[in-house]
Amino acid sequence: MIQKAKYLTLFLLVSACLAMGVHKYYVAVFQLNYVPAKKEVQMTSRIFIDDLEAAFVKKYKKKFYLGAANEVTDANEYLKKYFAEKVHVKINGKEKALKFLGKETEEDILICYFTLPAENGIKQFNVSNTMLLELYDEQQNIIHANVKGKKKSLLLTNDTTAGVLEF
Amino acid sequence: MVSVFAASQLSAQDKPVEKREPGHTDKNKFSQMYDLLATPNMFRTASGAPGPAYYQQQADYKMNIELDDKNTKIYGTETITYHNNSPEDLEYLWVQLDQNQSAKDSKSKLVESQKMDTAYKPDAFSRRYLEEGFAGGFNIEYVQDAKGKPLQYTINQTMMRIDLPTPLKSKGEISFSIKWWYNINNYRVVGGRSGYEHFDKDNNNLYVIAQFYPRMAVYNDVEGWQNMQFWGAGEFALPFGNFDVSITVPADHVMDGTGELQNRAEVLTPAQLKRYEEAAKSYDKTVVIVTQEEAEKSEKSFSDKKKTWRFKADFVRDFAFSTSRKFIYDAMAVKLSNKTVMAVSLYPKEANPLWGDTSTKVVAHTLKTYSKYTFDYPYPKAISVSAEDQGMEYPMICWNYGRPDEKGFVSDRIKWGNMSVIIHEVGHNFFPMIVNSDERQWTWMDEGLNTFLQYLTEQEYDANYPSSRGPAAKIVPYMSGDQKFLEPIMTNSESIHQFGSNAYGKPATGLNMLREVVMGKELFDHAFKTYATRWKFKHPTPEDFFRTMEDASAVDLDWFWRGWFYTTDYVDMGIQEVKEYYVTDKQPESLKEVNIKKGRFGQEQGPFVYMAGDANLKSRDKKALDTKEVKLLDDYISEKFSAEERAKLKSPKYFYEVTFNKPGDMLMPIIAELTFDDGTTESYTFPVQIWRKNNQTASRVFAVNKQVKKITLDPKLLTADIDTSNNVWPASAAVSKFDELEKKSK
Repeated sequence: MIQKAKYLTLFLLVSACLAMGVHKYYVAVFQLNYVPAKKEVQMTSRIFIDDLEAAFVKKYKKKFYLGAANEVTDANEYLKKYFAEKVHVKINGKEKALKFLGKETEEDILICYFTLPAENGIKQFNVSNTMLLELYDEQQNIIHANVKGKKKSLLLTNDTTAGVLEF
Repeated sequence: MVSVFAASQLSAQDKPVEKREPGHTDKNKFSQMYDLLATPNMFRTASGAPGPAYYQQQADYKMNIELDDKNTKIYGTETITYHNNSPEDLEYLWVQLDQNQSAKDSKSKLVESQKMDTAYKPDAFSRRYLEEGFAGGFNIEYVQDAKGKPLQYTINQTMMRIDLPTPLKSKGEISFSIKWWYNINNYRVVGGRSGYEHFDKDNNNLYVIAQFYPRMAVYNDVEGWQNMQFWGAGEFALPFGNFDVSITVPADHVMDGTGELQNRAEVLTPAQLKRYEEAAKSYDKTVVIVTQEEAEKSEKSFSDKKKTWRFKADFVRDFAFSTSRKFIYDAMAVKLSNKTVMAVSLYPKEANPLWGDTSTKVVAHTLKTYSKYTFDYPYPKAISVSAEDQGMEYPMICWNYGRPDEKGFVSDRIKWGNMSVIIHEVGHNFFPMIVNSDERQWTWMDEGLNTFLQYLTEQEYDANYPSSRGPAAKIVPYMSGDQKFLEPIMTNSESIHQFGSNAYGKPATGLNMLREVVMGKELFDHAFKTYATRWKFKHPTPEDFFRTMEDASAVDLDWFWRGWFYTTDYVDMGIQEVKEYYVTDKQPESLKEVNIKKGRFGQEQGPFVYMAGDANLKSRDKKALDTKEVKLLDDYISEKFSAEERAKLKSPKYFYEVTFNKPGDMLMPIIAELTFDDGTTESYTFPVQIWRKNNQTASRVFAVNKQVKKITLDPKLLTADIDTSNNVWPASAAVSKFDELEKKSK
């Protein structure tokens, strides 16, 4: 049997549309690293391209061919819009805007790069993340944060769409 | 033996420890694995090979199957002849009833946590809350002995115990028959690993039929009966045997399955038969046997007549088949080192042109590459079937996803994904179909080994193949994840959180790192081939694999198995400190106390050549070594060596002491790349044993001709180091992806 993706969903047998032979899993990973020298947080997201494409088709009613040679020209603008809607990060209680730097593909994954200003260091992250939740009941969004070598994680799902990481 | 001290330099006395630490057991990561591995015995030896008392059971099947396409039901009667080759007598037999996993009363559905969904499509809501549900599962009509007398049986979920009137003696055999039927599932609607796919446009079904008959469980020296229930994730443990199978389907279907087709002339048209004969000699050219035109005609015919296809297969662990009116059928002869086998593909017109162009070619490439790294493919053919949403393997036949979209567009992801799934599932013929490990217990033994060979096969197909598993760097996001969601590879198949990374990606990456970084290709390939050959047509355990890899290579790998397979330890190595030294014969103030041992008891007298660290020198003294300027050295060299010898001496000019540390617990060799001021580089590899006395830090001295500008640990990302931010000296030399992007955007 082949495993297309990374995480075993807890609702494997409940979901009727799931083909068990392939074990399609719905997971996106977000890494937040604090860089003291630049007074910023660097965020990387790793999302399956076909999941993101499906969400875009549903929301914007057209094909984007994300990450492919024939990707539509304004795909980045839609990506910025979609992320701004789905991902909210508060640092020490204050909401910070995501700055989109660029993206690249790694096989079936789209990696996006963002920065957030963090002038006063990090005492607390408050992350709300509803990425792809409108598409899949089983979607899991995993948040890893690294502040000066201290690592903490959050698992966000339809049940819990936000969480706090204290440093 | 009395140890002799080498002359060594001491700069300070060790301070006595004030409070003694308590004692401890051997916690060294190189500790040998007597605590973890099963004790070798006469069945399985310490070398990792089958022992002199090794045995395995055999189950032969004779089956008559009929598939009712209109009602999507399948009926069968089977006679199993079971050979008890074990040294014990057996009071009962266990038979697997996998279909019961989708029975209405299946406990598989009850062991999953549920939550309330917030929104449903009407059909999903109806299926979940309104409808009766799919009536799956075996209906057993009888179990009877060779004389037709009923045998007593008890069904416990997916396992059936057959109680024997008298024990089956060691070395004895027994024949019994089972009659059964079940409703076939539409796997795209109700789930399942096999079943059928329905095409609304032409109202046809494409069947992929597997785990469809009651199958003997494995009895062996390790588990006794392997009768752990089939919950859905842990696949199968099956004994080898010979199959004789007749399958009746509508006359306009095209079919293929495990084994050699016995009545090709009865089921193909004369034209198709001729094309088949051409394919059998085609070598490297795909020949279409049932054309798209013929398939499109059959699609509409809905024949009421029946046709029976007969297959025979020797020494396989299972049987599966695929049948549909929609099938296009192509094939190609493949030359292995001393035999010819067939690569075959079955696909509906919806899969073209992708499938016609690539599937059979990829099957052929897979057979050749896997044969090279293991043994010549022993079966007569390997079939790739186009089944959407699938990726599942059986002997000689597998189901693979990937078709063009409705507009005919094939994205790169589908193109590569389709090739990868074909390589992977065809590759499973080797692991676990032939090297028959127990998947119910250890998914990684076939998925991990197979994913590793899949990676080699992909890279040999195309040097730019975008392999998603295999390269060390690809496992880093998993290895750096929250420990709450990580289990050791040596964890039962049903208890794993992240199946794909744990049982496929991590073991495959581990083997690739052993091959590329730890053992080297030659030693690894020989040991891997030895394992495959030793356990071909047998039932290996993890220990048999671990032991063979060491036994055939003389590379101690206990540290690797212990760390990578039995724990969730991760690799994180770093450069802790780099000190530069300058050579002088003028004694610096700080080195007044220095002394050098001579032999076991004596002490060397000066004069000495001093290695002065940064802090000990004024900046004008910090210069590259020129032996002519260090009188003490210069005198020694001119006195000791002739001009000819002097010309051959090395001429190091810069001296560094580099300390490596290990924030992560997993051991790995140290790969360090020095970049010099002229931009050239030199790479050094220190074997993993550099950590053998101190698992945490290690230091090396580099004496080089050019000034070092930068030192990079593991520059090619070969060790799955989860944090590379501490891998570069000086730290400012590291350029992140973010720096690159920020530069670009300015």
